[in-house]
Amino acid sequence: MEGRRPFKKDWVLTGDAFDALLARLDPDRDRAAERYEHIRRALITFFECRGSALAEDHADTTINRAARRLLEGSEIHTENPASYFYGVARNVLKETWDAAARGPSQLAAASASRIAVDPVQDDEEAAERRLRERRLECLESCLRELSGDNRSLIDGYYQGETRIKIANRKAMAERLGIPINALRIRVLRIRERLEGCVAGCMERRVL
Amino acid sequence: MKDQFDDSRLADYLLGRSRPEDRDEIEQRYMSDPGFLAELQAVERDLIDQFVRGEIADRQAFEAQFLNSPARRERVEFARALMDSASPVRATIPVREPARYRPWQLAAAAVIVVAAGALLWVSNRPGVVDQQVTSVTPPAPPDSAATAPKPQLRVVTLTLSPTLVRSSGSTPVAIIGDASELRLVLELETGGYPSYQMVIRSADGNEILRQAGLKPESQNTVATIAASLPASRLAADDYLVTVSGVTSSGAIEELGGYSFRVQLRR
Repeated sequence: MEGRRPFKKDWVLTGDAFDALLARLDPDRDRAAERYEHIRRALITFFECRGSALAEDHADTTINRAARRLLEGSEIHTENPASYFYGVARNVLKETWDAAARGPSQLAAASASRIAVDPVQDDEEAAERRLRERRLECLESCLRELSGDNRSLIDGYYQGETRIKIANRKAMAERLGIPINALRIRVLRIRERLEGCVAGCMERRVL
Repeated sequence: MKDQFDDSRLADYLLGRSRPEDRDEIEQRYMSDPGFLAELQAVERDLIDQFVRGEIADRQAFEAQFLNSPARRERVEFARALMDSASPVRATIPVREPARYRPWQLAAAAVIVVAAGALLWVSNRPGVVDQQVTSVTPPAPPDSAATAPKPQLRVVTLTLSPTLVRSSGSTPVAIIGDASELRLVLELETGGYPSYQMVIRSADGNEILRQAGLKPESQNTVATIAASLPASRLAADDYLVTVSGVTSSGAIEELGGYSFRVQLRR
């Protein structure tokens, strides 16, 4: 699992605990890993949509807590393990709200972008411009790494103004012989990979 | 599975506008359904794209939900970069630094302005209706090669007057060249509205831009409204601009039309 930051809680997800967790998700380890990845993405989405600025951290806290309980003998009584994680996540969310109500918010620290900006910068707009230029260069580099088919898909999908775009997308879906929704998801996956590529490029260029 | 929750309801969820029972149901569904989660993430990207294009209806809700998280802010910035990379004119990043220019640079800028004025005079001869002034930012100082700015944002401004078109019989032309933006300034025959709406359509009827809430300004005793659009949205074609006045009660009253032509090169 790429790019995960250290967890804030004391309890660390050990290899054994992780194996036990996967085993509860599915007897087949590959399917279990897919389910795990889905649950983690869903938890991040949940915390983002509920206003958390530390969505990844809270998702990992949720997973840690669920894994620890399973290791300690708790059972998942629902047919769908995801519901169990959802319940744990809601508790984690409530705890963060309660903590925020009691003490200083961590939002200010969390709100800082992970991309460092030269501290000797007294012109915010110039700094913003340089960030945007850097991001654009990274994107162009990442676009060049795409396969020809994926590059054509991305270029065609986002081309044109709203009405033209809609017509283009219908035509693309027809050419590919897939429903428009499937095209949308296919493009989403490429876009997610590009987002990750650009994020990695931006961090490397700072270091 | 998603049929109960179409894109607009998923957008409501993402913008924090769902009823609690809908919110809980959506969350439980995407927790266990990867396909539904993907649908939600696709709707999220659509919202982000609308925001960066300035087309989102509930900007306030979007900013409240999406700009409080570093990860979501990065997705917004990525979308901006994607939009910029799709533009045929790269580096559409405007320069807004305070000007700190030396006298020779100011003189150079003055020469450029005079030349632009001469171009305007030449193009305004009777029968010639090409109204174009190109804005060029002054050249960078020569001793700042290390931080020399990239090619600057160039704007073509086209002023349309209903009387001019009627008297000349010709269509005003905007020559885009390497410009990043076309700014349309429309002289109004009918004033008195608190705000105006401008809709630009191509010759085949495709809507290129719709901008509401335009406040009138006075230029030499003539009331005008103005709107800008990226040059990337324009092809070599004829365009029709429809102007409507919006009353204080929100009623829209069509006032008239203007037309112009875009050439990409001389």
